Amino acid sequence: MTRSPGKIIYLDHAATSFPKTEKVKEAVLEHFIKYSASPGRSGHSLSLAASRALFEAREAIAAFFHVDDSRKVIFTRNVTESLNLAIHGMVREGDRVITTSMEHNSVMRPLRYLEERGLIQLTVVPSSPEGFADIPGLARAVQAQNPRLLVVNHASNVTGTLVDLERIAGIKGSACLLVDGAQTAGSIPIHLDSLDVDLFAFTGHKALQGPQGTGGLILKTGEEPLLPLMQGGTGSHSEFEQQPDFLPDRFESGTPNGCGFAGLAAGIGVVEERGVPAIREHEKTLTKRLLEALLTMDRVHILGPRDPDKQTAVVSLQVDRMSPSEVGFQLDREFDICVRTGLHCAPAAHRTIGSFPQGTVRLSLGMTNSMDDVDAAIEALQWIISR
Amino acid sequence: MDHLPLEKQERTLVFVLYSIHNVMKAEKVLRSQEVLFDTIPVPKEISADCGMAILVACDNRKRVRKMLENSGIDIKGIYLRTCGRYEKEND
Repeated sequence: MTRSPGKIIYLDHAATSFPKTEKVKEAVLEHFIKYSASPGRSGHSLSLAASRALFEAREAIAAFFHVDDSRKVIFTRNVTESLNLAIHGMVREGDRVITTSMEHNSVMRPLRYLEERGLIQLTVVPSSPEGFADIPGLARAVQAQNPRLLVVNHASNVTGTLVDLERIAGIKGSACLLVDGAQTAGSIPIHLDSLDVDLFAFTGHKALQGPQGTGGLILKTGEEPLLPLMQGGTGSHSEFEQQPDFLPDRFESGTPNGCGFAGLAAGIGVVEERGVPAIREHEKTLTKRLLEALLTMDRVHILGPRDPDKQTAVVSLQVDRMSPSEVGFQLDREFDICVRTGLHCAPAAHRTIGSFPQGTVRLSLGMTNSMDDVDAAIEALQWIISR
Repeated sequence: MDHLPLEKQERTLVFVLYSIHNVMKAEKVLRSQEVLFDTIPVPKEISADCGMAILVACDNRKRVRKMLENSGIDIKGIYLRTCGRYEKEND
């Protein structure tokens, strides 16, 4: 097999989407060059321009997720910060929290941290070996424990397994439902106006096509008893030494990533222009092709649903007699194909699907990938396992 | 009188809002309704806050108030500006 010199095939979109479109680059650069002042801090024209850019980004995100009031969109650096804000901000000493065994460490670590300090009682309900949430099991746990918080991902970052949020919302009882939307925001249609989700965490740098350093937490009502992670300058209520109590300032201290959010607004524009349903169909087609080819390969074992309708465009696999890192290294060095190997910051998920501690090779596709990219990956994998 | 630019009118109204987000939202609403306005620093005579406020012509009092309230914008206070003096309007 011959490789095309200089052509990198990027299949790591579940970590960060790449490359970004020209519109995103232009938006970041325009902000950086023309008006990258501190928003909401001064009365001069550049500060106002920066404030308007931040406002427009918040409005774009609210419209994208079907949220009626953009003040309920709290900006963060990434989904990890969003999840930490939600978890640390919602739970109180003695609370019970329920989650699934397919969660990323951005959920598991804050929860284990609180558990180790004796502040919460944590129950982790095992998911199936394909990564499906045990919804009856979660319902029983909710009924038995009356938890403060129920945390689930919308899709696994390891297997892509989708979680039925409507069913989860139906069993949450009086718990606050926190959804980790890292893997679905931008690639699966999400209508928060018709979902009973209390807190929705997302990141900008994956399928929303924005730059790194952008993310957010969306509040269902704005009346949640959520405490801020940080206190500090907001540009508002400056005569007081206490944190303002109104949204979004209550949760947003310090100068934000203005360039980043300008880029995120442009990224969302690109996603909307193409349409999330069309992106979903495109990614399903690519995933189907990849899964079908992998299923015919000796020595290759696919983990997860093996069904494009039940997963995002994420495929995890193992190869007999080769470590995931060896496969990933050969894909990178010999074929310029970028994938992610190992545990994907989700040891609990790998224990659930039976791939701990060696992990998997994860190929994650995005809206910018083509069928040629998938075929090149298939050909490269065939080459690697045949020698 | 009202054909003068806002800063030259003798009597104008200052809408002080909670947070820069509300000010940005007010800008969007007023712009969409083609209402003449200016975005100014909150006058120090009104508050020590370092935020921004919306300046409009006196004749637009009811119309602007209604537009802002209908858009879910919380109004902290409305002040009549006369020759550099500020007087809080009653609710």
